[in-house]
Amino acid sequence: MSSTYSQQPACNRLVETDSDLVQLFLEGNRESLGVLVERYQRALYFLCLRIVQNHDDALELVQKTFLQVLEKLHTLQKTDKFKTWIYRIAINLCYNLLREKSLYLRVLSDLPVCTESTRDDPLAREEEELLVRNALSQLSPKQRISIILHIYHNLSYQEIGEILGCQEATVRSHFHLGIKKISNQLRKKIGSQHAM
Amino acid sequence: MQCNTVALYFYDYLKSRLGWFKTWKIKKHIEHCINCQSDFEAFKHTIHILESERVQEPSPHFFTALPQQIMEQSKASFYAYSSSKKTRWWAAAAAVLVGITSGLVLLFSSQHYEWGQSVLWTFFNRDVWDLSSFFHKVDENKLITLAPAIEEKFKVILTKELRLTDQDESRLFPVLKDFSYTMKEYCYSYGTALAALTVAIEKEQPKELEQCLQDLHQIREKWSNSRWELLQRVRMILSKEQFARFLLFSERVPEELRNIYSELKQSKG
Repeated sequence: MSSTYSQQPACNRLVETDSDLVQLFLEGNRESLGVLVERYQRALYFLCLRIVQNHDDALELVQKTFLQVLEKLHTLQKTDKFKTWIYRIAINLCYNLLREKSLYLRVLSDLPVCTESTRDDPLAREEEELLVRNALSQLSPKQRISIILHIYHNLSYQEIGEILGCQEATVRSHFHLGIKKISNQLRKKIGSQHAM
Repeated sequence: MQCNTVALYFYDYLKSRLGWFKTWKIKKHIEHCINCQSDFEAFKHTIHILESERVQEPSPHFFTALPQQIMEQSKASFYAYSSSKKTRWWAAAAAVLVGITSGLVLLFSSQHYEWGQSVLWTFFNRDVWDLSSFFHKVDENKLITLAPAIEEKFKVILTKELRLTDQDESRLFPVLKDFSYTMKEYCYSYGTALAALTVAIEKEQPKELEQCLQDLHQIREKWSNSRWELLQRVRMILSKEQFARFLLFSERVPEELRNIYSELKQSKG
């Protein structure tokens, strides 16, 4: 018998674009899905972690994201938009989880109080990081996602716009306003410490 | 440039992602605007903290295991989805074999039709015998003439039945066509093996007989696998609803073929 029985589209993990891999998967090549998972799993993990701020949840969300991809890949009309599509799935899952856990509206009172040892000094580095993280979590979802995707994932404003469903200029504005809010919180905190 | 506009470009300015003219304008503005100087310093500091934030790395095992796990899941989800159909396909496969033993050698040794070209043959399953009887009864010359029209009509019905979009069509039909080659190959192999089996029985050659039976077993196994693979590939292309329609449609392929053939025969006199 000739090779037809084992005929499967070949998958070259180094040169295939996302679009090629999606196409291969839709034609029945399961290995191409594995390549896509390898390609995106780290980025998605850090994205989810930065949104939900919980390691275990992030791991679970990455799995869920790929399971949704598996289920809905055939509905993806523009295969070249796979990247923004998968990010959108992950982000939606993150916010669903946050809603479920009622972490979505985290209040200012959650912010840690300065300890005696750091009160007279400029904010310690760890404390600054914590403050920034908390400030980030209080931003509107669009501001927060714009910052996370632009800074940590190097996505362009245009790509973020595709994920959030808005214009490039709007994303730029979300990004800037988000950073400004965080900066203001940092300033306020530093100001209040100097006043003490 | 106004302060609000300049602020929107802070990040790009910081990362040197702007053209020289915009960079120059922003630089000039910041140099002359005390508010923007202060805002830019605060902005830089915030970005610096954000960029240097440390996050927890998952265990390396997670990233090693996940691709495999998802690939397994892709298999499992398909099986789970269509498990209720599985027994029917096996029953169908058994029926195919019965039909093939009687009819296919003749049917596929025919040289007057390019089987590989046709999507029609993709749908052979339990009704191979039924179809082979049908094609034996029809006028061969007429069939050759009508084959392209039958195929075209068949595609139209399938598109309508499954509500295929252009994109679905462009994905599905090549898969079906590929499968038709597999089908053709299978039929030839099986026919040849059956012929050898007949000879072995007639000449009472126990060794050859055993070899033929083994060959037949392997061919059948490959055939079952390739049918299962086809279903998986189709499942990946179609939505659940379309796939369900595909399964239902494949059950009445012979009937559809008969109707198409009769219609075309009448219309072309």
